Order: sequence, then C-alpha cells, then structure tokens
Amino acid sequence: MRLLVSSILGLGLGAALSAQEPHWSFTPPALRAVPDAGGTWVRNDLDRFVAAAHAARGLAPEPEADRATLIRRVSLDLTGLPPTREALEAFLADASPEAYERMVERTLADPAYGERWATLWLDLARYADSRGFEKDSGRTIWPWRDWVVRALNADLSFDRFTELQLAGDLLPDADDEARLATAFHRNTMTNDEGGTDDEEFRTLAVKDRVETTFQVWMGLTMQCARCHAHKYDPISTQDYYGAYAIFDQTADADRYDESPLLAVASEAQRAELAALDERIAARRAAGGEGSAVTWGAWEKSAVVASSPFGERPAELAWSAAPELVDARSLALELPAGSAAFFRRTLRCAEPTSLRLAFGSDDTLCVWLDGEKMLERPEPRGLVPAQDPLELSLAAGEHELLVQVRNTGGPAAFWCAVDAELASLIAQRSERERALPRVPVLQELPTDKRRATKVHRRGSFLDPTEPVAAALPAAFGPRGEGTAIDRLALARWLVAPANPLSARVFANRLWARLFGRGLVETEEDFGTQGAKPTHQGLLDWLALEVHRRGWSQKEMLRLLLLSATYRQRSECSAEKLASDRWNLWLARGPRTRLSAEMVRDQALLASGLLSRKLGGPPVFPPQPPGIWQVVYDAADWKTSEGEDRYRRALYTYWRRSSPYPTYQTLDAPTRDLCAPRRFGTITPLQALIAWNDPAFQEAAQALARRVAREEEGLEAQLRAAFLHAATRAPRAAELDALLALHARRLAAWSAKREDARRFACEPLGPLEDDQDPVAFAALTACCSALLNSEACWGKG
Amino acid sequence: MSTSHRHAHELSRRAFFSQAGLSLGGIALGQLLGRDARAFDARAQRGPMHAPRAKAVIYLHMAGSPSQLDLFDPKPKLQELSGQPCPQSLLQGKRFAFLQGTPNLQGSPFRFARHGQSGAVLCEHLPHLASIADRLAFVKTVHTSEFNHAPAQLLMLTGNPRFGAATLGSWVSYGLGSLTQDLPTFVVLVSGGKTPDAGKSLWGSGFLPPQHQGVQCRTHGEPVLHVSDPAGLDRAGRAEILEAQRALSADEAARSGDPDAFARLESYELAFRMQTAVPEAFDLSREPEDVLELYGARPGHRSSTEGAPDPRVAARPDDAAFANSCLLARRLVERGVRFVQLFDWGWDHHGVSPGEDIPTNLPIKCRQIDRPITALILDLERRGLLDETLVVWGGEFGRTPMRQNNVPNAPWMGRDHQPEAFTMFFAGGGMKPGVTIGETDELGTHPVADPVHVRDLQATILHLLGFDPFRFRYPFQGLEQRWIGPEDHASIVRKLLA
Repeated sequence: MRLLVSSILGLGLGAALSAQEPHWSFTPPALRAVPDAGGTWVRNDLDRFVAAAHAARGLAPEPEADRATLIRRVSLDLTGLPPTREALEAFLADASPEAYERMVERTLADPAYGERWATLWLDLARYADSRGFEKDSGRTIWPWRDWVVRALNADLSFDRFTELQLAGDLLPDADDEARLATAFHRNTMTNDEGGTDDEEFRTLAVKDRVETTFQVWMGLTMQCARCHAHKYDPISTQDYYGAYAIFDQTADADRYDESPLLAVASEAQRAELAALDERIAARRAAGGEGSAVTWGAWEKSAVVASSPFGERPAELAWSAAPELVDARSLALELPAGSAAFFRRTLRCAEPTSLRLAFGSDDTLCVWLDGEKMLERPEPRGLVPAQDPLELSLAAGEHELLVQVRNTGGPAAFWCAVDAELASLIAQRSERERALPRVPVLQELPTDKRRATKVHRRGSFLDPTEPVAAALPAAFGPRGEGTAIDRLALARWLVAPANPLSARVFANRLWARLFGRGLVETEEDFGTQGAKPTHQGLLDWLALEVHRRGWSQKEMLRLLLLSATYRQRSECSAEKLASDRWNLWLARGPRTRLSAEMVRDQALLASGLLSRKLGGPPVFPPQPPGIWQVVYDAADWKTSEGEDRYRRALYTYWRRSSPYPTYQTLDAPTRDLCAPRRFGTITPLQALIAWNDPAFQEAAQALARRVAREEEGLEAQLRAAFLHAATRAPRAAELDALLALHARRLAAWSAKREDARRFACEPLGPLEDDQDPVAFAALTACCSALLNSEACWGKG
Repeated sequence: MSTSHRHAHELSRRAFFSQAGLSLGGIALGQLLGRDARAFDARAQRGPMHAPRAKAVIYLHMAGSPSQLDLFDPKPKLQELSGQPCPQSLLQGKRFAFLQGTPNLQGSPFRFARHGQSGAVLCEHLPHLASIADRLAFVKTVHTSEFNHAPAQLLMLTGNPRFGAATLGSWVSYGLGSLTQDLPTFVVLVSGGKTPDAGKSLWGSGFLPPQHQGVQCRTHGEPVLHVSDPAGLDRAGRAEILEAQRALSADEAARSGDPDAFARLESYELAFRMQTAVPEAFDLSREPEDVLELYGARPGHRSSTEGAPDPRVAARPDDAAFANSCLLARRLVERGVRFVQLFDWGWDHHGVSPGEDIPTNLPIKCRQIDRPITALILDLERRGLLDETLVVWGGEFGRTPMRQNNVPNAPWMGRDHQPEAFTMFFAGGGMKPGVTIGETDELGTHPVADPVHVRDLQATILHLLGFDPFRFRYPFQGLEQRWIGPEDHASIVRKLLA
C-alpha cells in the first residue's frame, strides 16, 4: 500500500509521532491551581481562567450585556426558542439581585430545554425517521427520540445516559426504558435494496457504531483504523476490531423487519395493558370453560412428516397433550412441510352456540365432526385469537380436530375455548400490536455468538485473524481480566481515568453556548485536531464534570452564570480586528440561529407554534415533488391542525430527502454522526425565509397578532419587534419599517386583490371588517423584520 | 507555526470564508469588510493548479446502468453461445446481486455497425450519436469496485462508496469557484421519474462547506425552490422589502461589526438577482424553434413518468424531459454555471418486470437520450463552448452477458450488475475526439487491454479541470480527503487526452 507520503511530510507527522511527550488530550486532566486573575469582574472560577488569558494578551472584558440581549441569548441557547414577550417583561421587571439566576432557572425548567438539547444529540446519534440507502423506507424510532427529550429534561446524568444508550439491555435491572435507550445505536442505516448482501450492511452498521461511539464520547476519528493503523493517532487496526468485536454480538442483521424490536407503551397504554392483564388473570383463576358443554382433554398426534394443507390422514397416533393450556401459545417442533394435529371431544346437553378462538404459526385448518370450519392456508406468525370461530352445536358428542402445518421457521398453536378469556386476550393483543415497535440492541445468546475477525483493509469479504472484544490500548486502563462487553465499554468511557470523555463533553457544551469549542475541532481531539485555546480551563471543566456527577444542567449553570458568558458582544473595531473569532473571550458570544431555531422562532413570534411534546413525527407543508425516491411510494401527507406548527425537532426526517428548509440551513443529512454543523450563508436561505409559505404564513400571523394586541402602527411594529427579536426597535429601524409600510399601502391600494393574496395566502381569510391593504402592508413589515439581522442572530 | 496551530489557522480561515459566503457576491463583500484583494482571492479557496482544459462540466448519469453489451460493446462469441449455460469459470469467486445457479449466456437483440472515421461501434438505436462518433471518446473497460446501485453511484460521483463524501460538482465548486453572480454554481437536473438510488447524497457537499452542494432545480414549475415571491408581491414590492431589510440589518451589522451580518445582507441581494436570472435561464420558450427541434425539447413538457407507480413502464420514446434537461444544461453553462449534473433514471434492465425488458425498454430509453445528447454536443460546439466544457456519459457499472434468471420463466430479458467492465463516453473539455480505449474479453466480462478504473477516470477529469488529482484535497477528521480516495492507485488516462 502506498501512503500519502507527500501529505504526511507536509503536515510534519514525523515530529508529531516522535514527540516524547504524549499528546495533551491522551492523559487525564490533572488538578491545577485556578489562576488568581480577573479581580471583581469574576463571577465564578471559570472566569479566572479567561481573565488570565486576557491579562496575557492585554485584553479587557466587555461589560455585561443588557437584559433583553441576555434573555434572548439564554433562551435560544437553552430552549432553542426566543423568550416570549411575557418572559422578557418579567425579567425586565425583576428588581432582585438574583434576577438573572432566576431567569436561568426558569429557562432550564422549561420542557423546551429537552427538545433543544435533544436536537443536538440527534445530530450525533444520526437520528432519522427512515432507514437510508436506496429504499429509505420508514423507521419507527421516535419513541427513542422522546426518551432523549425526557432524559435531558430530567437531567439524567450523562454517565447514566451513556450506560443506558450503549448497553441498557445488559444492565442487571434492565427494564423496557433501558432497552428503549439502546435504540441509539439502531439509528444506523440499513439497506433494503434488492440483491444486497445483508452481512455487508450489518457489518457496516457495526462499524458505524464503533466509529460513532468513539467520535461522540472521545472525539476520536476511529474510522481511519478500519482499513489500516491510524496515521496520526495511537489507534491500531487491532484496537479498531477489538472495539468492533464488542458491538459485533447484537442480534440485528440488516433485516427487512428491523428485528429485534421493542414494543413501547406510553404511561396510559401501560396502565391499560396492566388492567387487561389483571382481568385475564382473574378470568383464568375462575377457570371457566363455559358450563353448557363438557370438554374432554386435548390430545395430539405424532408429527406428520409430509402433510398437505387441509388433508386429514386416515390414521393418526394420539397421545395426551397436557402441555396445551387454554389461551396460551404452545411452541411446536415442526420441520417445513410437516404438520401436527390436535383433537378434543365435547359433549352438549342441549343445542349450544359456542365461540372459540385460534392462533397459529403457520397454517391452520379446523374440522368439526369431519367438516372443515376454518381454513387459513397462508404462512403467518402467531397472534393470539387471530381467528375467532363461532359454532352451533346440536346436543350430543362432537369432535374438534385441528391441523397446524409449518411452511418453515418456528411453529406454534394457540386455542381458547373460553370465549370471554379469548376476547380479553384478543383485546390485549390488538392493543399491543398497535404499539410502536422500535429497533433496539439485543445481545445474541452465548451459543450464537459471532466469531469476530479482523477485516483486511476493511473488507468484510476478507476476514483474517480472530479478534477478542477489547478496549483500545492507548487511553488508560483497559479493564484487563474482566469481560469486555458494551456495558464495560460504556463504563470505561465515563470513568475518571478516561482522558477524553469529560473534556469532549465539556467542550461540546461550551461550543453550543459560545459558538465555538475551546477545542475548535469538536470531532477531533487527536493530534490532527485543533489545540485548545484554554487548556487549563478545559481541564478544569472536565474535572468539574466528574465533580458535578456528569449533570448537564449543572455544567450549563456554571457556564451561563459566568461573567464570560454574560458580556455584551459589541466591541470596538480594534478589538474585533485583533480577535475576529473571539478566541480570547474578551466579548460575549454572538452566534447565528440554527435551522430549527429560525423556523421555530418565526412560529413562536407569530403565535402559531404548538408546544405539544413528543409523539410520532409530523409533516409540515413542503413543496410538492420533493419526495421522489426510488422504489418507495411513500407520500408526504401534510399534517393537519396543530401538527403543522410543531417544533422542527418533530418534522419527519427522511435521509434521502431531508426537509429542504433545514437542509439549506446547514442541517446534516443524518446519514452519519455529525459532531458540529458548518454554517453557511447562501441566497437559497434568503429565498426560503422570504418565500417559503411557512415563513410567509408566520409573517401574516405575526401581523394579525400585533394588530390584535396593539392600537396604532408604531405600537404594532414595536410589538412585532418584541415578539420576534426580543427587543424594541431603534429609531432608524422603526423609520425603515414605517417607510416600507407607507410605500406598500400606496402600491397595494391600487391592487387590492394582490394585497388580499399577500395578506391571506396561505394563512386564510381576514375578518370582513379588516382591510387587506393595511394587513398586507403590515405583513410586508413583519417579513422584512423576520428576515433582518435582528432575528437571524443572538448577540 | 506548529502543525496544529497551522491547522487551526487554516480551519479558521476556511470557516471565515465559508461563513462569509464569499463564493457569492465576493467583491462587494470584500469592499464592505475593507479587505484587500489578496484576502478576496482566497475565496476561490483553491484555484486551479495548472491551466485547465475544461472550465465547466455537464455530467450525464444514466442511473441504473445501461447495458454496454447492447449499446457499445457487442460480442460475436456471446451471440454464438446465446442460450447456453454460462461457463463455471465466469461464475467462480464472484458475487452477483441476483444471478442464481448457472445462468445462460444472452446475446444482444440489436444490430451494430461501425461509424465515422474512428470506426466507433454503436447499436442501431443510437443513430444520432453514431453520426457524431468522431467527436466522442469511448472507454470500454471502465470498472468499479461496487456492485449495488447506491454504493456504486456514490463511488463514481463522491469517490467513496459510503455516504458522507463530497461529490465531483462540489469539489469543482470548491476548487474553481463561481463564474456567475446570479446563478448557483452547481445545478442538478433529474429526469426519468425517480431520483437515483443513492439520493441527494450524490450532490451533497459531504465534508466540504455546504454552499458547495448541488442545487436541485426542477425542469418545470419553479426551477429553484421558493424562487418566486409570495402571491400578491411584485418585483417593486420585493425591492421595497429588501430596502427596508437593508436599513434594518445595516444598522445591526454596523453596531456588531459582525462580518456575517454583512454577508447575509449580500446574500439577500444575490437572492433578489437570482429571482430574475433563474426564471430567465430556465425559460426554454426563449429558444428559437430550430434549437428546440435540434434537441427535441418541448417547453413546459411534463413527463408521463412523473408520479407513475413504475416510471419504467410509463416511459414513452418521445418523452422530452431529458431533452429539456440537455438544453437547460447548455443554457446554464452559457450563463456561467460550472457544473450541471443530469440524472436520468430507468436504466436498470434486469428483465424481471415489464419495464425492465432490454428488447423493448432499452430502445425507448435510447430514443429519449440519443438526439438530445447529440444536439447538446453539436450546439456546444457551434457556440464555441465544447472545447472548455467536458461532457461525461455513463452509468455506475455494467451489465452481465448472462441473462438474469432469478424469476423463473420471466417473459422479459435482462441482465444483472457487472462491476468488472462497462462503457462510458466523453466529449469536449480536452478529451480526445474519435478514440475508443480498451477492449474486453470475448464475452465482455473483463478488460483485456487498457483497463480503466473509476478512480483513473476521476484522476483524468480532475486533471482536465486544472487539478493535480493527488494534491487536490481537503483536511477533514484527521485525513487529507481527496476525490480519488486515500490511496494513490489512480492514474491519469493519457490516451484520452487531446
């Protein structure tokens, strides 16, 4: 293999590899003294590190930003939404010295917090509502997304969050919630294209799990070691496949049915199922089989090797079948093509009508006194009570005979002669079948474990030497002598001895608040990544992560309450020129809204936003013809009612056809783990914010809202500013909007139909007494506002 | 400066130039920021490394992969053995998508002839292309490493069979920048009733900054999403709104000094210009009748394949969708668009359903593309654009000489996927006209002379665009990413160069 010699030399790899000192991020952070710097500016120890860097560069911090700026910043950072006008006014009116702290607490407690931070986690988890590749069919995995929102809102500690998602199924006390968490790693793509090798795409999914895990928790570019030893970081192919072996033992295998699946019940659904279970148990205890008939015991035949469907052999050898219990499924050993027969006699004292229910895997044929009563010739899986059967019986003795024939795979039989019990069980199974089924991780039984081998040059077709599950060698103790499985990996990742995870976690929170990590390359803490600007601060934060028990809200409080975060972002031209990227934090963060924020802000400001939490993904309006995917007839069915206006988090995410607004505003495709988004500014974004009917609708709704709330144009424009930009307009801004309003009034007065369309499409008609020209002009002002810098940014 | 520092510095610079949207209205922005011309030059981000032969690319991808054996690479031996079981030697050690057991060999139902001075071989269903054979360069020995559609399409266009890498159009946009102030740099047009198998990742920018991603334009209706103003707003109204925004944002930008604020204002100005330029560029009715006739284009045509449950069954020989795309490609290149990527779906002729029958369906697809591609090349030539516009035609892999057999007694004839050998052709942009490179064995299964891997073609295309394919790279996640992949196996196909 020829290497990229030129690029290696160009990057000075020789120096990097031969250095005696280990790379800074590969040894755990050490406790060191907090610098004595910053004086009275300091609000917590974090600021002392920042102040020390200021002092070294002759920089002075900026004063605290005004309250409107602060609440907009905090609110968008924590919840992804700007503050409501009420929240803004409450904060402005709070005279307490603790006003800021109280505002932060209120915002942290808003359930929108979980939605915002889940959105970020979903980029890392490569969450989508479809499976990827050619067919890209739908996938039901939103209950896991809701789990993430709940976990974040409850401030589940990140170490527990880690354990549950990587290995919830392996915990000794694993419950459904823990198993649901493991869907994290079922967000990998699966390929349903005809003619693909399932093993190829299973191994690709396992590789994705390895790479995503090390990317998310340790900021390492593990994928390099898939084919050859990592060229820059101490990760060998052995390390890669040792980690691969950890993930190689799950039962999923790129199957079309996405098994193994977990049925996920909501609180209410769980209660309903429990109530049914209670009634079923009570009915069983009562032991009623109906009094009008006297039943004989079940008998079974020997397996009939080659048994055509619906044909009763002349001779059958019968024996007692005590294992067949009413309304319980009985697994059968039936090779393909063979059948089992069951029979039972019953005696009626008088003519009787009887309701029975059956279930089978696969086919089923039922005779009464030699006459066929029920035929189910199609191959299928067993569902209790899937075939109800009503019989009218004359007085006397009867024979019930059943054939269960298997076409392949497992086989089973189910029968209930207690109609009431059958009906309860049918209800339960119907409820259960209606539950969303989410793909989860499930470890293979010990006798079915795969023998993992190293894939030469990353090719699954070229397996070489066997490899045991192992943790990579270069990052602290490897848990020698203990069994290495996903749980061991999860615990190793968040152990204090792991040099990277707490740093990566702290850096990620920092980057989301300050717009840029202390290590800019969030995705690469290796030797090719950027050096930290404040290594002392990052290490101190990493130690705080452990000290604060991996609480994300605790860490965010630390950052938000600092003087560093609370600075205003405006500064002198000289300061701006000397530190364009605000590397040295001598001013506050000024960042741009994400795709989700831009849309949610417009909906919130206009009063359209639904605050409903969780549930299946929704389909807000999108232009026709976007979904045009090979071999899948799935259609975008625009949601009705409040589901049109849900937060962006809930928009159906199809990998091959992402929602155009988010795609254009720099959202990733979610094919693979995306540690950070790269912001762009393009005219396509401008076209969306101007012309996408969703934004036009928001502008119309905002105009109607302020017209409802305020008298007089100036007051209305002020209110629009407060709703959308969290501040009052400055004089020049108000003048610009007033001028626009006047010119539009004049133009549309001569074109009233145009005015009506601009004010009403797509939101809907105005009241009879409302002047379309005035509303169109106000809508134009709202659109200009929503498209202006005051709304695109948070300073 | 240490390695990491330099890396960080590069990242910052790059982030700056991408965030500042400098590939857009760069000059005005440079002035706004008071930056000197040197800083502005960096917006080309890379710039060519040597004098380019091609300044624009029109890439015609036939999604599904046409049968080279029925279009360009006839095999007398295959005709002779047609219907007989395939020799085991051709099956051993190979993976097929659908072939089972021992399939039969299958000759082509079509007639072939040599054309032009060059004697290029084409099938009877491509008469127009045959008439310009001397302007084309054929490679009969292209081979790839993937045999499923999505991975093979990704390898062909993004240089990596997995998702996440940058497509050729994005590399070109990143490397050469824009020639137009009013149109996107990289445009994608889709015909055939479906998007190609690998979906939008085929025009994704991957690890390159997202403004380099392809802009999928529709060939009727609104060409660029949301380019039309809301109902009731005329151009004067839009101009007034923009003017108010200018006042609002200039105030905010001046206070914050944030270059992003200026860049965004600039992006609105460009959006305003695009609202005029895009509809003009996409308006085929502005073309004279003889040009429409040359291509077989029909303004406003809606394809019968759109929304059809199986577009292959709904395909009509006189469908003008692909012709319209070809004519649009010329109009766009003429207006400074760097890269026009066409995808035409419906070439996956397996012979296992009514739309996949080579004898009946392949001629229909040929009719749809034969005249338009010929017209495109002639039209570019007479406008003096062909020399600097590279036209590429091909699928993602080839098809087997074996008849597909996994549906017993299927009345249709088709072929399975074959990565080992297939045909592509090129015109213009520094490709040598009138050559045929490579030769396959007597059944067309493998190259026997001049094998050309997809990576070799990629190296050749980059070379024509003015890049050293081995040094044209972008740092991402610890690796110097290149379009030709991390290994230096590729070589420029010198025989193809004019």
